[in-house]
Amino acid sequence: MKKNTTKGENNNIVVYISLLLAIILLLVDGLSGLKGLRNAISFVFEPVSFQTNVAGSKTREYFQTFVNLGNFRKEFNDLKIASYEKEAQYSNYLILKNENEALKKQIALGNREVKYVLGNTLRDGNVDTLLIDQGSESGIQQGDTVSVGNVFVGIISNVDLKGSVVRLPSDGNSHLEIVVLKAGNETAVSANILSSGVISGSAEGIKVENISMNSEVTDGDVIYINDSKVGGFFALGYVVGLSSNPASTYKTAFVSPILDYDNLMQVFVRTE
Amino acid sequence: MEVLYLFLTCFVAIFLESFLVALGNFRFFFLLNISLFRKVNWKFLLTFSLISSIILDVIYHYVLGTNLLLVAIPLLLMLGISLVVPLDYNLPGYSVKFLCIFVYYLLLAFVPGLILTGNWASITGLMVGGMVLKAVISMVFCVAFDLIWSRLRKREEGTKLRSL
Repeated sequence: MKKNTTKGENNNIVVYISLLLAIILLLVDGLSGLKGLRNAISFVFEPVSFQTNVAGSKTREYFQTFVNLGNFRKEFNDLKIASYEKEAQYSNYLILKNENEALKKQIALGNREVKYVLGNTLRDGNVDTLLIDQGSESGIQQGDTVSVGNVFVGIISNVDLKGSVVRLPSDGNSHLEIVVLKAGNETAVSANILSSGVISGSAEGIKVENISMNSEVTDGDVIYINDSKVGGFFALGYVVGLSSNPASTYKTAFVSPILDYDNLMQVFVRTE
Repeated sequence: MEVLYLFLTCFVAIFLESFLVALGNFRFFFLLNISLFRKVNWKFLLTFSLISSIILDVIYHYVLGTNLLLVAIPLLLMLGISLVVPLDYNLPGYSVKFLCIFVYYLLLAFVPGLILTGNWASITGLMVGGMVLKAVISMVFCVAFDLIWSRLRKREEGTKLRSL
């Protein structure tokens, strides 16, 4: 028992000696300084301490990831929500883009570019057709409208590489819708339409049919082409030889063309 | 052989001290001191404490003797309390150790600065909370160390009996 107590007291002495040594060291280092000893220890142990410190920091960062797992999850959820919002915005943008594309197409259709090709007329002896020196090489296609200014000449019926045939209104196969306007008031079109009708070529000339019986069409009124095949208003000529059969439901007339087709030198072909 | 043990222990202590300070500001040197107290020869413990504390003072840029003082004061406190509460491997014994470790961390917060600059460091509630947490974790280490130590001792005793 006594031996054990002595052993315990011996162990306790380490505390007193440590305290004493600590005070001595503090005094010695504080008063005189132990620079040499410090440098020697620093030279050996600072690199070791630095390396282990770096390893400890890295391990701490690794564990810090687990500590911040909740924050990461929250951040992930926030990012997910932000991603959904962006996706919704993107789809909205896509809808707008498609709408924009559709509108662009629509505008392009509404403003079709029209090109006029100048053609010189050639003689062939046929009174119902006209030959011109421009063909598919110039972009002319079958069905294109031929005019001189705002006056209708005909429709392209046949196209070669360097020449085309224009079907004149006097041709038997030419059937076009027209409107009859009061002479002298060409500017106010909608207000002065007297009647609509159809023109067709015949041996007697360009015949106008289907003029309304109750219309106030008289000789000298102006006839305008208003046909989807032509695409636009073109002047054709004047009403002449208006006749009305009491038994019929419409009036007929003939057209006196504005242009003399035999003397045409140059025409314009409207191509799209 | 003892000299080799001593240098090895010093090296391991410094290595783990630096690592654990970077990891969670744990002080392994004091834990080793409090765990080895009354378990190993006092000369061995004194030499180990002296060498390791001087090295750590240099590493932490403290005045030489600071670490030794920080270790000695809580151990002195433990000796004082041991006059009333026996330092056995039970709850009262570990409570005393817990208190000593807490005091060590408390001293660590202001003593080095006080010695170096003469200024008292301010201690916040958060810091005290951190000290308690570190003391609790350190206690877990102490318990584990004591368990391992007792098993090793038993094995040694068993070997001695067989050899006898």
